[in-house]
Amino acid sequence: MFKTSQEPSAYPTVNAWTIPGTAIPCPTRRRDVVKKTLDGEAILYDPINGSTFRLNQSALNVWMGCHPGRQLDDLARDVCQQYDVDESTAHDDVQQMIALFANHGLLTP
Amino acid sequence: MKNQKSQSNLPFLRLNIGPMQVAVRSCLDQFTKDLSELYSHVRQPDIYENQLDRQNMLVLEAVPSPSINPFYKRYTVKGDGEDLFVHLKQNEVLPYLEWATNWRVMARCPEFLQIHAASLSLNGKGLILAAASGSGKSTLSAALMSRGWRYLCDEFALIHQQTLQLHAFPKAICIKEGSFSILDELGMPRWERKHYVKAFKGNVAYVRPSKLSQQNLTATYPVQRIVFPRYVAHHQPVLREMSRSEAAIELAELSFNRHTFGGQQTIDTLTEVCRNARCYRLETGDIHRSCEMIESLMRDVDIKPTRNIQAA
Repeated sequence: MFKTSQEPSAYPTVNAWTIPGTAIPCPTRRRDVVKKTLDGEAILYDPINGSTFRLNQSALNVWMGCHPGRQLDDLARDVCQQYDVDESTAHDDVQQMIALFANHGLLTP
Repeated sequence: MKNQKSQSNLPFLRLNIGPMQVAVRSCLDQFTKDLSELYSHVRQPDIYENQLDRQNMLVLEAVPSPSINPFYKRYTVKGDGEDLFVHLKQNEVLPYLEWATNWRVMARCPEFLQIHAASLSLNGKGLILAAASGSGKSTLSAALMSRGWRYLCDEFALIHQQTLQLHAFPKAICIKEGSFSILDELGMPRWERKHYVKAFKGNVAYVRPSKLSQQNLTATYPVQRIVFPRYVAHHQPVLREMSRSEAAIELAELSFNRHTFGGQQTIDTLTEVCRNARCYRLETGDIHRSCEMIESLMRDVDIKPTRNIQAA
């Protein structure tokens, strides 16, 4: 994921979850953030501060997975299946991406 | 320059540049003469102040700046009645008047997304050369024009928000002194007066649009190729295809009127433009080979996305 704008995030930093063995609910992506897809990648546009972000395919899949009713484990399982990586790597990747989304204010507080 | 006349009695030069009618007046005889010569290909009969259609025309003036020192002559460029550039020296007036034209086009044409880019077309297919100042867009535009391309504009790409097509605004191409030798190699006549200077560019010369570029100015062109050029001295040209999403975001960053056009509208427009185009980065120090590579892009040569194309 690449941030292309210099505007600071209007939202507080959210730390990655580290509690093992607990089903952690997945945060929800903001509904007002605009998504445009191009060739399997996506551009996200934040209408509040005008920031734009480019997501590659894997980041886009995690972003699209961020909706109510899902757990972080679900996202990690999807990453395992799509990219043939082990569970631990998938969990780390998902947590990093969620943290990035949160840092840039793209998730519902 | 001498012979500053009383301004209010002077006629306006009238120029038809692309979709815009531009009316220009100045107290400086030499400036008026130079402008007439440079834009003789689009000149219409002169008009007076009471004949101006301010609704449909860009009205530009170069007037003396107020000064108590008669030996310290400075000038102000006004656009549609507003002071845009002040305290200019005589040899800065023409280049700054061109900038004033750009600014007023931005203000007066909100239906266009205006990107800091050159635009050209070949056989009805549109090309955008997008880059910040100093990247060689104008020189590359002049070179392509000398090879038979239709030149649309070297300062901005005008993309209509509904049709997504490129529109022409063929001002004279402004070339800085460092590129004069390239114009000479291309055999392109340049119009220059030693006394014109454009801010950080230094001494500048102008290249008039070709005859082809002056015809059918209302025609529009679908964007088929987008190239982000970067001049690297003595570098063999390398062309690399880039992702369309990356190109769309970079074009958004280069949009002059992104905030007035609307942030989301900008992204929507550029996403669709890039969806229908192929996008490339070009690093080059050789203009002739760069032109050949760009022409090969327009001939529907299939270039695989992961390959770097290097000049032989």
